[in-house]
Amino acid sequence: MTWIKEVLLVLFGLAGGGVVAGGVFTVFTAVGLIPRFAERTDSANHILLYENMLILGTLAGLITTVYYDAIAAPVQNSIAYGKVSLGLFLTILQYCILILYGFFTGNYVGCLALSIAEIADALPIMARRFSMKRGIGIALLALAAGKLAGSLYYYFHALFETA
Amino acid sequence: MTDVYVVLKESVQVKAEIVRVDDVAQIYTRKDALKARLKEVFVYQLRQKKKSRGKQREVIGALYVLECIEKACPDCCVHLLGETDCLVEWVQEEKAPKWHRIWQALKIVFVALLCFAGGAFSIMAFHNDISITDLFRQLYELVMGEKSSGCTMLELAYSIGLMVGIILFYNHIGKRRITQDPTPIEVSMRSYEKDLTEAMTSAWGREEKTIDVD
Repeated sequence: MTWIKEVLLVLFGLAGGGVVAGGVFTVFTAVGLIPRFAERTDSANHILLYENMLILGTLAGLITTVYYDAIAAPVQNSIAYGKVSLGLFLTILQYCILILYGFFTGNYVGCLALSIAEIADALPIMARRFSMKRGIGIALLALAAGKLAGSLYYYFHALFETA
Repeated sequence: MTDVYVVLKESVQVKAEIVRVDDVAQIYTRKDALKARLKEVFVYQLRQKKKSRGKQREVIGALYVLECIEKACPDCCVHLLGETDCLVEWVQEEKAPKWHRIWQALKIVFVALLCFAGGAFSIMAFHNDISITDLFRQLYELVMGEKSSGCTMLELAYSIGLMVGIILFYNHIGKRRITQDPTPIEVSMRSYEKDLTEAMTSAWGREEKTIDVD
């Protein structure tokens, strides 16, 4: 009677996936990042492309997390034990992927953090409380510089290792 | 007395230097000849500002348009409908240089990569947050009573569920739409543009730069 158990698992997986998709992507739409990017770059007619890239990105993220043991770890091992040797080319490729992915993720998280702050109306409210008429640009710059400093401090002092 | 109905638009893009009624509003009156004449009524002459970069914008008030029409046709009774301000964007016809198109393509690639990285990041962050591999292992053991290999039908079903959820949510596979509704991001794009127009018209009004009567 194991097939009943398997059906149960499949149902659980399907439902979980569907609900997670709805939840994660509502956040995307709610913070309204992509309309801003599209407006900034005058490319509102390419929204379908952007959505497709989001979907592909999710697929990539899915493979690297859910299938970490099944896919990512074996690939990593075979590279580490020299079964696959592509030499210098591979090293360059690895660095390129790391740098590009790091850059774009940082970019995305920076935009996300500020647009969440804006959604919560934190910036306009602060500006009004301190009756700031100008200087919001400087305040924003300071916020961005603070984020850079905090991020660098976090990694160079290995704050993530406290636990 | 002829009734003239004018619906002011929310925001328009014009190419010529001269803004006419037809550019900023839809107009209706019973007499076709009058309608054609009123459409051509001059509203505003756009001027190149000294330090203008990119798009140049003006806000034209509804009453100003009404005044223009009334001057052109003194025995008309103008009914104003629609917006109270119209944002006019002056798109100067340039011979679009080649690098401009390349730049545009680069920007699109940039945003597309940003979306890709963002999508991957947020789903990975979420999965790490709930330690999904451990969760699925526990769940598999709970149901099947044996150790999970880490790549079972539970993970497979989850992946399929996730993809179906996304496709239903965004309502398209590649370029093929499933229903005719706009996608969520197209909807939020529209409301963002609306907010932007509203913010600009009210900023113009506050600085008293709106082209209006008095």
